[in-house]
Amino acid sequence: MAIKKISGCIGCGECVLSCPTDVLRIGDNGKAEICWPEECQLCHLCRMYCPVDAITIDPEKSIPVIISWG
Amino acid sequence: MSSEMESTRRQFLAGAIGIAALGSLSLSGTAQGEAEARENHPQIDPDALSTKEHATDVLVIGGGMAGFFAAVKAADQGAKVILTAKGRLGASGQTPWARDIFAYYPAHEEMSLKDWIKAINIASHRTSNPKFTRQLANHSLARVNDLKEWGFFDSSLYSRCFHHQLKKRKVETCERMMITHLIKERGRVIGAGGFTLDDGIIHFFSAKTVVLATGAGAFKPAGLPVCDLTSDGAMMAWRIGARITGKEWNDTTTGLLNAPAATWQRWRKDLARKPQVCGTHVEATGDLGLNYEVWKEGAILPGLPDANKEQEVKQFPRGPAVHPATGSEPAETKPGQEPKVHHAALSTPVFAQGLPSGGAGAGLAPHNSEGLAPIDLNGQSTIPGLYAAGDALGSCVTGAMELQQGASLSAAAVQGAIAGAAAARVALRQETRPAISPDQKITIRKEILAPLKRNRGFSPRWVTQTLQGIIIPNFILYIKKEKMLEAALAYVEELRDNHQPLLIARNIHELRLAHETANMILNAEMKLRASILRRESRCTHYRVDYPRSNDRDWDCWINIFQTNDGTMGLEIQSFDEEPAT
Amino acid sequence: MPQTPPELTTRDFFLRAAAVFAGFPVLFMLIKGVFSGRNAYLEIFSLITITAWCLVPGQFYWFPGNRFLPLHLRSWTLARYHMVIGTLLVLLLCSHPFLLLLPKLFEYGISPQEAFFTMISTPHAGVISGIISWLLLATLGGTAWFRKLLPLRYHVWRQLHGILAFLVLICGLHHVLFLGRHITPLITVIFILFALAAAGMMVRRWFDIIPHAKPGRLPPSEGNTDRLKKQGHQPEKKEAENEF
Ligand SMILES: Cc1cc2nc3c(=O)[nH]c(=O)nc-3n(C[C@H](O)[C@H](O)[C@H](O)COP(=O)(O)OP(=O)(O)OC[C@H]3O[C@@H](n4cnc5c(N)ncnc54)[C@H](O)[C@@H]3O)c2cc1C
Ligand code: SF4
Ligand code: SF4
Repeated sequence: MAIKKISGCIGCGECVLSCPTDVLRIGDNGKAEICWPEECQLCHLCRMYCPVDAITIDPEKSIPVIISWG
Repeated sequence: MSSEMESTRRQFLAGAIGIAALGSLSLSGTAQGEAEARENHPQIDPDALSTKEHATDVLVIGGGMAGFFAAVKAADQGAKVILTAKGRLGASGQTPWARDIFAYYPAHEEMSLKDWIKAINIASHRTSNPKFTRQLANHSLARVNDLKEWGFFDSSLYSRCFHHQLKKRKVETCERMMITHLIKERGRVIGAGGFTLDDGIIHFFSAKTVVLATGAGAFKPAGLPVCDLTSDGAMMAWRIGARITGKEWNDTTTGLLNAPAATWQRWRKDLARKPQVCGTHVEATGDLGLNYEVWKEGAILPGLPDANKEQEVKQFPRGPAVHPATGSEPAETKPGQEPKVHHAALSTPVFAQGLPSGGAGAGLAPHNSEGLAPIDLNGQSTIPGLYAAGDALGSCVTGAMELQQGASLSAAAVQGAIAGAAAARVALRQETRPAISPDQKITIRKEILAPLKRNRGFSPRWVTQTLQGIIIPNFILYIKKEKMLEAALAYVEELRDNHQPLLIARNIHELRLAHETANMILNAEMKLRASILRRESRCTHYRVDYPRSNDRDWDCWINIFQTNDGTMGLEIQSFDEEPAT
Repeated sequence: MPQTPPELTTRDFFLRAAAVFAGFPVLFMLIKGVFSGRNAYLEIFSLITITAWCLVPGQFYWFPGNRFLPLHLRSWTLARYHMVIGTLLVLLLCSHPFLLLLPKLFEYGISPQEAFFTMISTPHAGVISGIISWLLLATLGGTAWFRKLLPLRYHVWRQLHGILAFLVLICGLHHVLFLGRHITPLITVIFILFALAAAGMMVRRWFDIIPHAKPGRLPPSEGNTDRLKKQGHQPEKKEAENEF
């Protein structure tokens, strides 16, 4: 399911800023939360900007994808 | 949070039902009637959102390579500059993925400048604009040297490098801010309006000139990391009267059939490396061979060579010709002519990883082939004060095809720098900065917040998925025929007339989706109308009912503008004709 | 069951104790299948760091003067273990923020320096307690290694050592529970229990509420233990665990 897990987050907010499709927010506990995984485009930018490698990403989208043929 | 997740899931279910219905393209309406029309329970109070105002000489919209250079060079001219981006500077749009940047080294190139420009013009079936091609060659080295000096080539993440340069020049950057409106008064652009994604504050910028560097746009496809780009810039500009060109062309990048959204897996090797410079190498890629083949024979390709047999992959049957479009062999430079055009085999890396899927970048066009129609080499649009650069500008550097590796990133840098400098010069000459009238602000605020205020309607996610189901199939977007295009247009018009006005949002995230969805619907209409108009096949536009290229009637670009009654007007601009202003 | 104190050599005792302290959490982690997705280096790194942390409460148990321990354990060997493990722990735990950034040297993403700066400049409670623990731990290690150089009498130093260790335990626990990558409710409970046990040990020692064992008894010599072994008097595992 798209961006899968955030563990070991220190709440620096880099990922929230770097996500082009606005999937993440800093939650009440001061850590990054996956709020809208449907919009995740599996681009790995959040992971690359995370200073502590807290993010894991799956190769599948969380919603059915529409492609030109199947 | 948990209730939020809950409702998102419910909403997604509604989306899934919509898709199921679309699978057979039978939108009966009854099945999902209930799911579609939903009550809206906003999680925030739209009336509590405050408004902020900024004033500047040059407003740059977009934080990719083009926006970055526009801001740098405008600031270097001495203008006050504000840069806004929907995402992070250097980490949104397509710029974060580009790893090859083209530079023309006059001394070392094996191809002379003239030959290179000619090769591109021929290979692109004359759809390229040689003036912009030349401009790219002339300026690319200087921009690459700038980037070298600034440490751009040391990291695969560009944000810090970009930020550092802008900070040095005291450019104010507003990240995570979606611009939704360009504001025009007495024929001139005077600013823009939008909202921030974190707190929903409405921002107005009054500016003497505006550089639009909002990149290209697509239909939030699976397969390319471009889901944040929905042609916002071009659509905003069209709404205030700019001309938009090149909507009939298509990017034909493929993904993986078994994991269509796994962009990282597909491009991992590229994405994990540092950027590098490349020289002239004209190669025709991104044609419609595979799309045609699949349309004719079916999706699962029997006897597809397995991953390791690269040799066989190269000999894979490719449909009628490299360009089914032309009905003949692709434009090859004839013997005696210097320019060399290579023809890429179907991109082997994709095949090496498994069966290819289509529509990876559905809605994208070859870089620089679509966008605001320029009236001069500065990237000036048909609206005074409004400039565009990079993917947002229909500069046709390599025409309606991808022909030169690294040219699009380089073009974004070159055009951004030129547009930024030009915009700054004009802004500095202009004494007064017209203020945005209070009435305009009220209207825009209302329009921005409308989806939050509707108490029932359609979720942007559902409308987007419905739109994707209409437009992304191979037989609509790529292998075109009049009847299907008209049918799809009817669907899109339905979305435009009866769904877009009822888009709802419960939070700022969905507010953004609502505005993006509206832009995608408009973009879909443009793509369909332009495709219907071009009754020939050329480059990345293929019409089953007009499978040959027709140089006599269609040696032209198609521009789209807004007519006096607000509908879409189309005009053609011959390749050798100066643009209409 | 009769409480026959198991006869163990220091090494046996130590291995078992270590297995209990470090083995549990790692086992739970394995069961929960946390090792997925990230690259091998980071997983191994995590495993080592967690093991190190799990051994921290152990240090409160197998320090040489602990009268809670069976008295036949040879205190000199125990002191050695305490020191070796302690040194390892300090080195590992103090270097873990840097080891975490090591892969960034080989990627072309953000540089380790940038990542480090972002890390320490984040005002998250877990980060702050982490920094404090780091400083405390470094002091703890430093004052232990260079005890001889310090102008402190042994028992003053020992008190200082104890207090520092106690603070490391508290701050570290906060850091681990707030930032730990593999923290699950179960692990939280285990860590808290371990920490409580360790703290308990400490408190008991401070207030000297451990009933004094008869000091006259001498630890059995090597020979004695060997004889016991030969007679097949193997302590049962369960009994060994009862210890804790
Ligand atoms: C996977 C991939 C690989 C590529 N590889 C290469 C390559 O190797 N070489 C090459 O030359 N090209 C490559 N390209 C193409 C290249 O990246 C683009 O042509 C180029 O980056 C365009 O730059 P730009 O600044 O014009 O637009 P973009 O980089 O797309 O930037 C658009 C900016 O506008 C902002 N924006 C959009 N809408 C709004 C709005 N409404 N309000 C505010 N801001 C907004 C976005 O946030 C973003 O910052 C690649 C593209 C992809 C997708
Ligand atoms: S993978 Fe990309 S789209 Fe998904 S959360 Fe990370 S940055 Fe956002
Ligand atoms: S970048 Fe990493 S550490 Fe920072 S907030 Fe995001 S997940 Fe947490």
